[in-house]
Amino acid sequence: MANLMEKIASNLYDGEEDEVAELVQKALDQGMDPQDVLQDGLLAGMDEVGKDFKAGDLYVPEVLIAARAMHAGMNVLRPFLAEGGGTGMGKCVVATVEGDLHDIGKNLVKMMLEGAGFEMIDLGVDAKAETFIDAVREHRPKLVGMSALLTTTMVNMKATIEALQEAGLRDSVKVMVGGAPVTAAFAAEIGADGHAPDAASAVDLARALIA
Amino acid sequence: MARAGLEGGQYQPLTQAQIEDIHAASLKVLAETGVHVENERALALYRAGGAQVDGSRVLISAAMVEAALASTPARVLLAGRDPQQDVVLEGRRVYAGTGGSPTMVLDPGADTLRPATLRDVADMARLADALAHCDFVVVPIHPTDVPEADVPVNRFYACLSNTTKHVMGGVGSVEGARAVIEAAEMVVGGPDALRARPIVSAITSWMVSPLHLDTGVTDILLTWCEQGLPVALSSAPMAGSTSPVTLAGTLVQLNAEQLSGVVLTQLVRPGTPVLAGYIPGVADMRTGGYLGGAIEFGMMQAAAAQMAHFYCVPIYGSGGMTDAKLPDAQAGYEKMATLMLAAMGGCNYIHHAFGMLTNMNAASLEQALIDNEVVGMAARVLRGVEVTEASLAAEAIARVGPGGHYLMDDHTLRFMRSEFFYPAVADRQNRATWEAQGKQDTRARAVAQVARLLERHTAPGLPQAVDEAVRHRFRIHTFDAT
Repeated sequence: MANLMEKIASNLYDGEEDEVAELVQKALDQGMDPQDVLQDGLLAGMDEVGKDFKAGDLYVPEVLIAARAMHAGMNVLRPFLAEGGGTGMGKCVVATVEGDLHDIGKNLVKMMLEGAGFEMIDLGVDAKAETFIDAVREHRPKLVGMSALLTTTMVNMKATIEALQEAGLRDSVKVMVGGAPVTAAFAAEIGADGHAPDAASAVDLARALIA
Repeated sequence: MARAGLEGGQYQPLTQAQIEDIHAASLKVLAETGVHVENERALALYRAGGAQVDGSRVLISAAMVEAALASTPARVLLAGRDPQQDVVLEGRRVYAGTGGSPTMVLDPGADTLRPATLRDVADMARLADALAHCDFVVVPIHPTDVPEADVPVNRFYACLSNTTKHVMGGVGSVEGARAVIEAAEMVVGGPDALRARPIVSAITSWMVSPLHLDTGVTDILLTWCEQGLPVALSSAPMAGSTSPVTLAGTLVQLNAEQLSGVVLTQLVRPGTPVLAGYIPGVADMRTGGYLGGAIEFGMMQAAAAQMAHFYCVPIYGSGGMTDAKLPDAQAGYEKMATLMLAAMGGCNYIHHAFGMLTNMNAASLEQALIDNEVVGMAARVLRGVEVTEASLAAEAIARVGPGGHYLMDDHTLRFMRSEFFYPAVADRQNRATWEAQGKQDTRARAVAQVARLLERHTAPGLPQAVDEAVRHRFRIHTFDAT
């Protein structure tokens, strides 16, 4: 049994999504507790990835591919997990704000958070405040993440936060912001709960915000 | 008499065969993968120009590229308010200037950033006006103390009133573009005068790499082209995330993006003076972040210049960026390497060359002063080794003979000022003197010089009547110009 868990973790580390999905299925077929598969297999593998990434041995593409394998495993596992159907980390809505089509940073954060066990709802690019509000109403996320690359569009983060406030939803979520021109001071000024300067820090921030 | 614009092209990372390989691969990308366009006006133009349009996907043929290149000017004048400050982009002539739109400023001597103001735009423009090796001003900062709608015309006003060099910049919106053009027309005395001597030009970051047009910025691009004024296209992929990880692959995609843009500018208005804006960034594979100071950036910039030379289209590029947070040793070597490679590559219009830190995220006055020295050294390299009868010095060698010295020879007196580059910031004194003068490092010396320079160099200002008219027409915010 322990051997199978190690196999899941090591295949996840190597980004082998098909193998991870198969091995998770196999573990379930053998009657293993889905919660153990999650903790000792998938999350154990992602922990290793996280450690080696922080040490500088793994690069971003390797982390993303591991996260994709995690996702494949979760797809098999989710129906068998207790209510909530997830890792317990909760949901996070992300998008690039209105007027901005730059999505590489947002996509990176989304994939990294997915790897950390968050259930991600991606609203894409050029997302208006109403789009965020509709998604928050529908999905009831713990977190909302906004991205902007342009100095001309970062102001729309403030507008979105204000719209959340007016819709009475602001207190139901934590809001995190990021993007090249976005600073911690700007985040504080517009009333966001946090700012992350890169994708890896966004994971740490997300964990801290929901703790 | 325009600014010198020394000849580059000494560093050619691509062979002729490799240039043709990249060209062929780019044409294949345009014909088979194409670009994604949602802007209706651009779609209509592409369709009318013969492109195969399937929904929002636009496939561009080699023939379309060829037709566009035939009408694209090989020579573009970017005028200064003072004609002696004109820059003429053609061939392998190299010019360098400010650039970037950081919202943050590093104050002299500080180690933390603060939000940028309109005053900072004016100060950097005035410093750029004073710096000998700065050929043009790309609006160097995005102010945070001005309402967004007022930013375009105010940024240009702050620059135009503080320098007589050419001013280029992002114009924010179609309304911003119109305001900037109108203000510039008021400065030069009307629309015809501005077309004859364009003292302003626009940067349009119309491409979101890979191969995806930004609808709003494309509107700005089309509006600007219709006006017959010079425009710089700009696409800035990051090798490894928004373009292929290989240098060659990034060059193929970037080149395809530029060609798609050149085609569009010539479809709007054949003969539009366009600068192909190749900005070949690198993604940090360890964080996903943007790298401005990577050595590969400089290598690709030179290779991109070769592509632009191949097409006889002037190139707008980048050099002298750094990922360093302070004007420190890393800033020095990254800036020198990327600037030198871009210059030796013959990149016509190198922006980001003065005052940038943390790649495009912060501006620093003393860094601009240090960069003046970096650009000055690169200019010396471009001047090369002059070999003439006089410089060969046969007569002087005979005169001095074995065992003598050249210190007082006429030949020395004749060439000693022109033959060497004399730095203003670098310290070349003996150690004892340096210690006695307070052991200042490069940055500390530059800080002191910036203060002196800004005190001495008064803003050229605009003629009073023009200034009043511009202020009457537009909401111009104060920045306490000195």
